[in-house]
Amino acid sequence: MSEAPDRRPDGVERVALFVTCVGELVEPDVPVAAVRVLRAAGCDVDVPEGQTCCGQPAWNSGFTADAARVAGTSLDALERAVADGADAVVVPAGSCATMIRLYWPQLFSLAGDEAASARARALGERVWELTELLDALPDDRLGLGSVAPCAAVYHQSCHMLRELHVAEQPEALLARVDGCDVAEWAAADQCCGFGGTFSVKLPEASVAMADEKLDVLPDGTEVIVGADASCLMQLRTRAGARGMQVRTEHIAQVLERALPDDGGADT
Amino acid sequence: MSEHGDRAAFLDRIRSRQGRPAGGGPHPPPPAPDVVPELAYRTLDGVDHDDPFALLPVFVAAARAAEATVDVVDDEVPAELLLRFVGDHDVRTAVTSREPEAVALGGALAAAGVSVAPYDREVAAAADLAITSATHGIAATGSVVVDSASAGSRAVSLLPKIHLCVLPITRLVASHADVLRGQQRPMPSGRVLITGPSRTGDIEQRLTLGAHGPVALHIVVVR
Amino acid sequence: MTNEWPLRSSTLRERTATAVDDPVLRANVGAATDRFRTKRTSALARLHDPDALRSAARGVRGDILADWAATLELLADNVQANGGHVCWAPTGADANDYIASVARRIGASTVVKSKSMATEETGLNEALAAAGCDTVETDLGEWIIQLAEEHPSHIIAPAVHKNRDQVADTFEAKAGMTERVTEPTELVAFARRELRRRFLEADLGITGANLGVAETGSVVLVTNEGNARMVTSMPRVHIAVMGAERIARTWDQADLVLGLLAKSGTGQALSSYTTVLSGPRGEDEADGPDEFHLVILDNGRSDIAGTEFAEMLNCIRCGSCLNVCPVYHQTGGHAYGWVYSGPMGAVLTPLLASQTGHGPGEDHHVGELANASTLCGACMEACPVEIPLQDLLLGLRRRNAEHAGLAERSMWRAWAAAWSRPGAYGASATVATKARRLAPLLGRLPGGSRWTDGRDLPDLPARTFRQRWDAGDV
Ligand code: SF4
Repeated sequence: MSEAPDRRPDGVERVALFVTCVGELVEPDVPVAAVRVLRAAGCDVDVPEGQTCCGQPAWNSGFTADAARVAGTSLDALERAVADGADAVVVPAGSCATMIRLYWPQLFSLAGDEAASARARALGERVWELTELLDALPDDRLGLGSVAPCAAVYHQSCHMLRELHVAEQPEALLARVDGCDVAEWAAADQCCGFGGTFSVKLPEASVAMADEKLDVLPDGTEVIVGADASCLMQLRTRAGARGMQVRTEHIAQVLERALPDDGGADT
Repeated sequence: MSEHGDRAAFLDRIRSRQGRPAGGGPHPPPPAPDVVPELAYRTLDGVDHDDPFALLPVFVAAARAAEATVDVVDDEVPAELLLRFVGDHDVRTAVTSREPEAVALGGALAAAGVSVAPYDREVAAAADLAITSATHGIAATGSVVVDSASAGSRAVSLLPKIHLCVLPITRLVASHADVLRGQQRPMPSGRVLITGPSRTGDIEQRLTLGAHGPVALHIVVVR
Repeated sequence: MTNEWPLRSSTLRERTATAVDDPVLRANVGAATDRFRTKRTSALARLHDPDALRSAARGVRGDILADWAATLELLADNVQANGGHVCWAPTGADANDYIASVARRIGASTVVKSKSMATEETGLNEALAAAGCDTVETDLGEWIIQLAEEHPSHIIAPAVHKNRDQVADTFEAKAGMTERVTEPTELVAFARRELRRRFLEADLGITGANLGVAETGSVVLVTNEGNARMVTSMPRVHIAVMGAERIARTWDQADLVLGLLAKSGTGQALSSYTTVLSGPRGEDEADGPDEFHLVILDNGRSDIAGTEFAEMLNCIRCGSCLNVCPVYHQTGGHAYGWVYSGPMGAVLTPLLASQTGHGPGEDHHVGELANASTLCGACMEACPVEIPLQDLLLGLRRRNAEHAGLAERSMWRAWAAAWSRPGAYGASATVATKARRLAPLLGRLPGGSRWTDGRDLPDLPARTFRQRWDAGDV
């Protein structure tokens, strides 16, 4: 299986953020937090104009040409940012990072655009999932303080875990946050049941999958932390419908809250 | 020996399409390895694969893990062990395979009052005990190998309630690779790698021994 | 029975909804898959570098099928050299006809079978019934569902959806059990007695084949119960029905594949019985069949070769992908509607169905199986031959999209038109946030209103990210 390439992040200073459509539309607090955390880690953050969505909804539904059309727009935007000097493209969502890094080359190739496929492959080398980059940075670049004490669990999203092989990094970061007490969760690496259009094509199975995770939350869990806003939305809205008192929070938001008041790094 | 259906058409259809799987996705297939790797069992770490005495403890542990029982004896099977076995399992009738080790043990059992007969389908189906001898013991998996050619039948180790298998220690090998790889024609018509007694988990995943075959497998390793 | 496969008469959603609603089924399937999964993990942990072995096995399977025809030819020659008969069966009907003709020739009245999915594909039992044979499935799980007239719910544990009381009910109603017992050991003992009788009286034994090994003309059968050994040693005639792709050229290759099979499926080091059969009864042997036949079944398989789905032919039917699949975990096998279930079924069923007249047919229900996945990738990670099932599922969805209705196509086209233009994307985002409800967006997806049963609607923010960024509030 392909492992995450061994990339050296030490020199990363200018990053381009890929907001993602869920970040843009549904959960803007997530990309906002990502920007602030990256800045605190000494990065100069740009949000390239012209980006939209990675194309995943259509790709996962089999509509290659439509997916390529949308992805092409974002490819153009991200490529421009790299040309303008960005060292890395950072994505605060495991599944969008997977889409860009793993599936874009195939997507463009199937859509008949080999040139775009090659460009996507080259771009992919610079694409990082947010926690993957933050964890790879030297610890002293990102000072993390404390948050109000909370009983948390961490949800490992599928693409991040199995396609990007970003498994340990999020919890390693959370371990650096005082007050965020991450408990063992038997179902941590189980799929949340979202799966994009799966959640509406087979809603009964989708809800049952969420339930299976929620059923085994450790007693007293206050917050489910994850790195994919869409998984968290699935878990939160199901928990809400069941009347469960559990919140969800993207890891970028936890890290943001943990930033020392001076903004972290002393750059 | 005969052949039915249209071989050429069948194969032409395949030939017109076969080839390496088309890639393109993010998980391209690897090339075939030059040498097909053997499974490397951790239990064999540091064990001399050619030394049956070194393999013995590995074999015993693996066989027991597969719900077999094992005795290790020095030379021939001691009478007291036999008597205990016969008593514990209430063995009254037995059939033997054709191997000399099995026949010899059958003789000893007969002397202990068990009614022992050579293999016959109907007799075996009603017998308490089957006595066979293994062509190999596989240390990594705790399996014994029984051949129809040397045993004289396919089902002698299958039909009776209990299977007692004699394994001379010199026949211990490290892994199934040592048995399976390098097989050539002519083959015995039936060869079976037996790993523990017959079992099923089909009802509520509850492990139940003795589904269609023996409820117990007892291996006697002779040093 | 094939005519009654639910695939023909219901939608995937209907079947999954029914399954999810059945607490007994979910509990049983959940417990079974959890147990298989745990055992698999520990079985593989006893090996050095199991992932490298899986990858090697993938390469080896690819290598075998790159030379598919020649390997089959060698196998067929060696089977005959061993004194066996070979039948080339391009379709399920060809296989059934051949087997029925053998049964008639030898005047078979009782036929015993050990579990074979290839013959479920072909509907062999009905063909044998038509030929006047009484056919008995002898794998305990298969026997239970044969008696209950149900379908298998797991490829290696067909009756996994039934609990002990349901099994006892079936035995009472259909197998003449007069004194009801419900302990699994007692139920197994009952089955042993009943089936022992059938083994001894049977004229014809039919098995599948886990692997055909070309260099010696052998067929390998892997079972735990010992029923396949009974089927291949008691009756006068043994017929093995092998999917044409289930082959290895050499024993080196077979050793690797067999070494991984039981560890991946049931989590055993090896199954109780790994049986290597090479022809009919040998000289001087007291049992075993007088005749051995190998039926080599295509039934749509060759059509998969050379396509982007070719790696599906590498499948060794271990069941591992079912055990790790979070969707299967909720639904069990019936939701897939046909012989095969779980991720491998979601891929294989549409592939076979579109290419044979003997699969589930070509109606719209078949392709939608590709939707029975969140593409979580757990299946590939567990597959002993590393089939990239998630990629194959995506491929099937692309194929489905080519046949999609106008509404769905227009929806995606409109989506692409808007979201490929940053201006329009920004506008749609703004509209949506103004509405402060996700409903308008969801409503445009196929079946979008299905979100709200069981889930709250997410609240939309007052401003999009871009609005905040442009306002300098980030
Ligand atoms: S696809 Fe892989 S995991 Fe699934 S049954 Fe086939 S070989 Fe086993």
